[in-house]
Amino acid sequence: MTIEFIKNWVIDIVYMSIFISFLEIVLPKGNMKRFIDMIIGFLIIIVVINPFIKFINKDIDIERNIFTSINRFNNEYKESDSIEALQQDQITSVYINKLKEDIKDQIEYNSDYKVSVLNVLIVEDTEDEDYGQIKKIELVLEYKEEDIKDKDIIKVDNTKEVCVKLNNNKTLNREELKDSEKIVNIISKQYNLPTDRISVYLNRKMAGE
Amino acid sequence: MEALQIVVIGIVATVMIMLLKDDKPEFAVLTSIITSIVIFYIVADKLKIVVQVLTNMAKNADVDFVFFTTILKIIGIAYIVEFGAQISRDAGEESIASKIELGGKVIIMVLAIPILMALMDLIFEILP
Repeated sequence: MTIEFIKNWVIDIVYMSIFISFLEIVLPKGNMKRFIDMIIGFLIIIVVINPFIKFINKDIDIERNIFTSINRFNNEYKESDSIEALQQDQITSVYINKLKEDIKDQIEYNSDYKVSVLNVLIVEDTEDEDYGQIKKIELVLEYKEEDIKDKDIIKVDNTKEVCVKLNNNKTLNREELKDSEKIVNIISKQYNLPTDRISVYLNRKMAGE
Repeated sequence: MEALQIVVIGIVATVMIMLLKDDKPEFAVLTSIITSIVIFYIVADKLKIVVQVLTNMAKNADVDFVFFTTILKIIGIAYIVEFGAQISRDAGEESIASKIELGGKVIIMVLAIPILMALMDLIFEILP
């Protein structure tokens, strides 16, 4: 048993030495050689201590260990990919929010209305060459009032999910704004957007109050 | 026979490069690239036999297959990187050559990391 073990071990080492001398012939000479020598050194250590591991503890399997560490590294790469996607989402949402703020400021500066609800739909596919272009702008306005209560209501306008917003809007009592042309023209000029992509509504309930 | 072919191609290329170097140095670089590729193409078949022998030896030496493929990949990368770096150096672009070598070294390190980590884990597990 012990002799068999030592015999196998010696055979392994001898084969390994021949294998490495053969490898040395194939290796390119140059700066790379140091790195390859280091890895060959690891290989020698593993071959020398491998039988002892089997002898001491049968649970350890070096090949499994390597596979787990390869998987671990692959997972880390995947994680960094998902971080990139998250970052892209954040960039998009920051961009939309800035756009909304800008439109809101423009309207409030140039007209007598306040923005109650503002939906901006942009091209969100990063692969698309039109990425970031505005697809549609939907505005719900209300009359400007000095009431603090109104200001509070206005602050609630920035929701992130456009679809949800659209559904919510159905519950609002709104109508087409008659003198919307001016506002549409302001936005259309600012963002170089066709006027049919901009819809402006008036929040009747708020106007009546 | 292949040895003769390789030597003849090498000498002809050397003479051509010497003649071209003064008048048209850009063609000298191209000639050296093409010569390297042709010589590699001639020995590529023989290289297959060498890899087979190495595979058998690795099997007998109880070297796990993961190590062996890693070692082969590393040798391949080292060859390609040396090839590129030498050509850049011949063309007088020392900085490009060192950048190519840097790239190769980083990739070799990434390939070696699983072996290194496994070895570390192993040693720590053995220690009482």
